[in-house]
Amino acid sequence: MISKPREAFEKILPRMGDLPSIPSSVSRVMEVLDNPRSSSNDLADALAMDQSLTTRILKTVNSAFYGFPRRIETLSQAVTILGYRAVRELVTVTGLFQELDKQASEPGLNRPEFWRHAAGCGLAARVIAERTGTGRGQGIFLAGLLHDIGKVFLDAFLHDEYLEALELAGQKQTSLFEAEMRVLDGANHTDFGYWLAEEWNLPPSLTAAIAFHHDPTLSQDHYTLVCMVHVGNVLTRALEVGFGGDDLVPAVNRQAWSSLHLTPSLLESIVTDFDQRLSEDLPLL
Amino acid sequence: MSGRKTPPRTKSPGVEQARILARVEKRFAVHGDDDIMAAIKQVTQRYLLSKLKERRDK
Repeated sequence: MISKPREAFEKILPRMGDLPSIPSSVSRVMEVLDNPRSSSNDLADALAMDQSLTTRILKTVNSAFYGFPRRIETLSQAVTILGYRAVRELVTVTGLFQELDKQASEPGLNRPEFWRHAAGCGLAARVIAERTGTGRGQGIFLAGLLHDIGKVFLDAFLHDEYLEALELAGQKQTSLFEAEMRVLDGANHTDFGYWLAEEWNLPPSLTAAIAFHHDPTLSQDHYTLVCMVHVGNVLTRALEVGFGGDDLVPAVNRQAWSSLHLTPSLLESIVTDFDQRLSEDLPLL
Repeated sequence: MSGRKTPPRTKSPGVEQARILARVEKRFAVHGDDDIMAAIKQVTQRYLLSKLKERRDK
């Protein structure tokens, strides 16, 4: 058990190596993506600086999902085919997650299943946004994808304590959220995720989703987005898509549910859409 | 000495269905009769049973 979690976080920062900063190749790609005057060639040039990104993008565009009769060999062709949104998501997944997974150790958080949960949450949040007409844009998927980033930090840098929380949740049939609070002196993954997001200078919308996805009512500036991620998280866990660290299904906040105008019949169509997209989109991530 | 391995026993559809439903009940038990969580539980049951059927039909 640790005391003074914020101090524990501060102490970890100097020994985190590459973690506090997003890899420079990813930052460069993000800059190009954010520049409305950039071309697909600019993007291809930025991607070419990173071998793992290049490989991932070419592998994706040549997958059965796109079904092109001939092999796509160049990044600029791939970018044109995939589109900027898909490239942004692939870059985030590949760049950030590979960096974070360098610190994974066994036993601990099951990373492949964890990332499947995270990507599932991003997808669910996006489907909720589309079906309810309450939001749009590429930030929704990313917000879902990164919502539990604090868990990865804890698993990597406070591993013994986090293992204790994971075991506590498994044995006592309590939520991981509550187990974290017991082991981390009242703090949980949303606190650590928030501090990490601040260190990384992530956009405020992503920071809000990371910090408030368990209680959207605390979010002031990005309330609707946080509600989508909140419900997306509950839904992904309920449907057993990946594994977030414990078996219990967290409660949906009634205010969040109402503000998204969700109903049981709408939920049914969201799940149908989500299931279809899960098999089409998720293998690509 | 190696003998022929016994093939894994396949559970009957009814047993697997019951197991899935029991697991869902357990995972939602803490929410009591909350109407929103009841709606999520229902779609979860249907979803997981449909996945079971998909696996069996393959």
